Amino acid sequence: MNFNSEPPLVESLRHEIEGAISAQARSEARPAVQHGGRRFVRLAAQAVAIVAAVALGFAIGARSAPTADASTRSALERIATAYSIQMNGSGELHGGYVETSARQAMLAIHAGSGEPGQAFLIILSGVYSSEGEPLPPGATPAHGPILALVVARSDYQVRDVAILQTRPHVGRLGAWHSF
Amino acid sequence: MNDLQAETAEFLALYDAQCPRLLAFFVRRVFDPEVAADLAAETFATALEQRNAFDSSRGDPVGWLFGIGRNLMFRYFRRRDVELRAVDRLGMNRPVLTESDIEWLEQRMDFEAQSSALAESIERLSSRQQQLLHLRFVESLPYREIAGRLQCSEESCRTEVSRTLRRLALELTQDDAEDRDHELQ
Repeated sequence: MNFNSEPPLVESLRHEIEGAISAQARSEARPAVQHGGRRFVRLAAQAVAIVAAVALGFAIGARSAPTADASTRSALERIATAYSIQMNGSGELHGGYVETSARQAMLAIHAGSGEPGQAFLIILSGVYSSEGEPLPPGATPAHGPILALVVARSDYQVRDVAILQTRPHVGRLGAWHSF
Repeated sequence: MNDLQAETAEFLALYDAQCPRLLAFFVRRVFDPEVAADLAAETFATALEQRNAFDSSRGDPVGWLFGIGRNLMFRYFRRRDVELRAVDRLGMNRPVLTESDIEWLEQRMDFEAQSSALAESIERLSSRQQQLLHLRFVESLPYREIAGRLQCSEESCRTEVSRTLRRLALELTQDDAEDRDHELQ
């Protein structure tokens, strides 16, 4: 595939936008009273949807863990794939990624469940306060999940740590770093 | 060409010029092709809905478009979810990625290039700051224990970790702005 060519998505999304513009044009061409009626219905439906979304948000926030939703897992897996990282282990570590503390990951490596030189993707914590303290689910984070990649050295010590994501408003993923 | 046709052509020209850049902008930050595609679709749908509110005296349309995208992306970082509200309101189909879409987007993640920014930032930290981050975030030690190891107060440890994180965030934010300028060229 040519790196500089555009993906099919660009064309398909363009069709969707063209369709939306046409639909808007048709809608605006209709009688005002009908338009107003539809607009009221649409606003009412939106209001109901917003109330439902808020209620659902509270429900989800109350029960969900603060880390590793499907998209996070997907991102971790993609990063691991990009680096050809072999991720395995036993117990909690089995399954391709780890959602645990760095300490647990290191303990697992020390216990021999990880091989030297293997990497483990970990989530150092869920969300952080501005003081760097983990926050409960549903709290407003000052920091996003700090994703990290830890590589076990041959002597079972940490060799590399990659902070993959820092703060949500930064929106950047991080880097290799050897401590 | 009437006003509507001119307006449509103008918007589609903006789309043609900026869609690939916006996709690359998103995927380099969210590291997920599907999320990037959803964000791009929602950005253009929102822009389409709000195009009459665009004020050219306050900036160029590209900056306005990326501003919408940036807000949607921050919302995604906070909530871990892309709500395709404008897409749904406009009756647009949600993006479905093909293999070549995913391949194109993954090529633009450019993880190695991006990661160098944080690597350089961490390298510039003092050894004590690096040690603090290591003890706090790698070994997951409580501040009380870190303070004991480094023979300082718990409060000063907290403050220094917080300052170090802020410093990293600031440096990365600056890099982020530079990247955006580069992407818009």
